[in-house]
Amino acid sequence: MRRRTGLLLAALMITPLAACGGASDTSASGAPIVNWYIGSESWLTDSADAQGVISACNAKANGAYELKAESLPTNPDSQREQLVRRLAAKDPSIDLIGMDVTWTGEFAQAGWISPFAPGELATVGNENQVLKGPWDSAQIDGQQYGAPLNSNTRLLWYRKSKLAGNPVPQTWDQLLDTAEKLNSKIQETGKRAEALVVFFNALEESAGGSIVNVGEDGTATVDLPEEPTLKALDIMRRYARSSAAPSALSTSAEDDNRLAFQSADSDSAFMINWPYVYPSVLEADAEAGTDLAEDYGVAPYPQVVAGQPAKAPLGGYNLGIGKFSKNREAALAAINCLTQPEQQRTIATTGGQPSVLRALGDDAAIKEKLPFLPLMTQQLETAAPRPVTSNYNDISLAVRQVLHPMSSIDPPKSYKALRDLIENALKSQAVL
Amino acid sequence: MTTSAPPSGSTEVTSRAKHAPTRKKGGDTDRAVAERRLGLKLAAPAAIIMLLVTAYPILYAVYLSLFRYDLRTPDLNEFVGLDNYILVLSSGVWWQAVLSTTIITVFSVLIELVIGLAFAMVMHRALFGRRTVRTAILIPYGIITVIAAFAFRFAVQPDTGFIGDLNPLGGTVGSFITIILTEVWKTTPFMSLLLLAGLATVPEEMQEAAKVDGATATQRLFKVTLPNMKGAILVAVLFRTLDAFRIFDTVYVQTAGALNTNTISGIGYNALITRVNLGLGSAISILLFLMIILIAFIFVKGFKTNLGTVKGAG
Repeated sequence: MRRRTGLLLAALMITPLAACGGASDTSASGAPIVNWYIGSESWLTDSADAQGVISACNAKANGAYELKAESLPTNPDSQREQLVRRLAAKDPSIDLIGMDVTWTGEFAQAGWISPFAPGELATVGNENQVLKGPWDSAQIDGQQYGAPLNSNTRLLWYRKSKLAGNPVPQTWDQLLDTAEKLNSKIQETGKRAEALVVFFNALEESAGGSIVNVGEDGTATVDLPEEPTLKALDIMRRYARSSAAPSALSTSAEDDNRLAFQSADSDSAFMINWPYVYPSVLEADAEAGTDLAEDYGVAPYPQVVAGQPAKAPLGGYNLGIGKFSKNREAALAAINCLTQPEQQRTIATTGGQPSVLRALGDDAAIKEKLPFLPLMTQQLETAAPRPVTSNYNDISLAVRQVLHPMSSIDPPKSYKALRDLIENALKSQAVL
Repeated sequence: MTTSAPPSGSTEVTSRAKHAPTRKKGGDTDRAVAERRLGLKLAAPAAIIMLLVTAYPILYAVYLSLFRYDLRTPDLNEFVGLDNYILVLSSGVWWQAVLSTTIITVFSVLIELVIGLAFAMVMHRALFGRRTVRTAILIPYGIITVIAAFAFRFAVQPDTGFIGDLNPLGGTVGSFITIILTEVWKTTPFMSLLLLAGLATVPEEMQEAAKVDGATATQRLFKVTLPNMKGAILVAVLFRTLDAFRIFDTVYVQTAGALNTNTISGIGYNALITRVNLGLGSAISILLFLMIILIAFIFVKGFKTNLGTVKGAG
C-alpha cells in the first residue's frame, strides 16, 4: 500500500510539471517560436478581406522565427491579471507581450520585461519617428521598455442629423449645454472599470493637473493640484446628474456606448469613444444595408478650459519582451517586423487604431478607412498618458473606488478622499 | 477519556452519544487494538493529503500576512509584524465590505431558509410525480454560479433585459436585490435538500398525536416539526451561512464590487490577484478565515445542538 501511495504522490507532483513543459520552443520547421500574449484583435489573424499581421511577418521571417498568438481574455483588466500572474511566476513561455500603455511602467519597474538597447529597434526606437504620446508611454526611468505598436485616442462623436443646426461643441460645458437643450444623451463610460480612470485622467490633465508626479528615480508622489482636480470632478458630477446622462451610465463600458449610439433610433446625439466605432458602423451598415456612417460626425476631445486644446486620453499597445523569455533575439526580430509601416497600416485599416509612426500620420491608405486620421494624429501629439509607475494599478483602483458612481461625486469631499487613498496606494498600503 | 467512561450498565449512564456502550473496560482487547491500527493506516493517506493541501497553504498565508510582500516591488519586501492587519482593520473599505457581505449573507440565508423549507415540505408530501418535483426543484443548483450570475445580469440590464430601463445594477439597493435574488435562486435547492433530510426524521406518530390533540397546521409546524429537525436546520443554515459569507462570483460578475457591494472575498481578490500584494491579501484572507470560524462557533454554541447527535439521527 505504501508503494502505491508513493506512486500516487509522484504522479500528483509530475502532472503540473508536464503541463508546464508543454509549450515547445521551436516549430516543426526548426524556427524558434515567439509566443505573443495579446488580447484578441481583428488585425492579428487573416480575415476575408485582409491579411493579419502574424502571417505577414511569419512569411517575411523566412524561418528566423515563427510568431504564435496566445490569446488573452477580451477584458483588459483580465488580460493584465493573467499576464501579472504569469510574469510574477517567471513564466519563460512569455516572449512577446501586447501591453496596454498603462502596464508598461508597472511591468518594467517590477523587472518583468527587458529594456531595449539603443539601436535594437528599427522604426519605433527613434524619438523623431514616433508620435509624442505613444513615445512617452514607453520610456521608463530613461530607458525604452516598450516598442509602441499602435496608438489610440478618444474623440467626440456626434450624429449630424440630431444636431438641429447647433454648432459642434468644443468644450465640456458647451457639450453638456447642447445635449441638455436638445434633450439628448451623451454616451460616455461610467462603469467601475479602467475606462473611468481614462475619463478622469483626461479631464484632470486637460485642466492643467495630473494624478501623480513621477520623479527622476521613478518614485511617484501624489500631485492632484486642488483647482484643476475640483474642475475635473465638477464636470463628472454635472454630467452624471444632467439629463444628458444615459440611464445605464454607472454600468456602461465602451461597447455599450457604441451600441447605444449606433442604433437607428438612438436617443444620443453625442458619444466620447475610441475610433474603432467607425469601422464598426461601416460593418454594421454593410450587413444591414443602412447608411448610418454618413450621419457620424467627429470632433476633437472636448476642452476643459475654453480655448486650451484638451489633452485627450491615450490608449494603444506597446510591445514588450518578457524578462524570462528564451527567445529574445527572435522576439526582437518579430517586433521589428510588426512595427513596419506595412503592418501599421493593416492595424489602422482593420482595427481603426492609428499608427504610432509620424510618417503615417496623414497616410492616404489609412485615411480612406479613417477619414479623421489627421485629427487623431494631432491629438496623439498632445495626448494625456496615464501615470507611468509600478503602482499604476493601485492608483487606478483607488480612482475607481472614489469616483464611482459619478453621480455621487461631491467635489471637495471626493477630492480629499482621492488624495488620501492614492497616497496609501502609492505605498502599496491601500485596501481597495 | 477512555478510562473515565462509566462501565456499561452503571446507573450513571447518560444518553449522550459519545458515551455509547461500545467502550471497553480498562484496556482494549487485542482485536480492538489491531482494528484501531488498521483504521489509522487507512485514514492516514487522506489525513496527510488534507494536511498538505489545506494546512500548509493556511500556515503559509499566516506567514505571508506578516510581511510587506508585493510581487511588483520585490526589493521592498520586509517583515512588518501586524501592520497589514492594522491597515486592513483601520480601512473604511474593509468595513464596507464586511457590511455588504453581512447584508448579502443574512438576507439570502433567511429567504433561502423560508423558501427551502416550503420546497422541502412539497418534496416530502408530494403524492405523485415525486421524482419530477425533486428534479425540477434541484435544477438551479446544477447551474454554475457564474452562469446564473450572468443570466440574472442580462435579465435586468436595460439593453438585454426584460424589465425596461429600471437598471437595478446602477444603484446600490437594486444591486443588492439582484445579487441576493441570484443567490437565493441558485442555492435554495441545496437548503431544501438538507431540510428534506431533516423532515424525514420527524416521527409521523408525533404529527398524528398532535393532530388528535387538535393542533392546527401552524401549531404542528412550530411545535412539532421544527423543534424535531433543529439539527438539520442548524446544518443547513450553518453550511449556507459559511458559503454565503465567502461570496465572490455573483458580485464579481454583476457589479464587480461597484456601488458598495464589494465583499470580503472581493477585496481579497483585488489585493491578491489584481495587485499581487500577497502580504495585504493574505491578511484579508486570514481575517475572513477567522470570521468563518467565529460564525461556525457561534452557531454551534447558539443552537446548543451537538452535531454528533445530528449525524446519529439523520
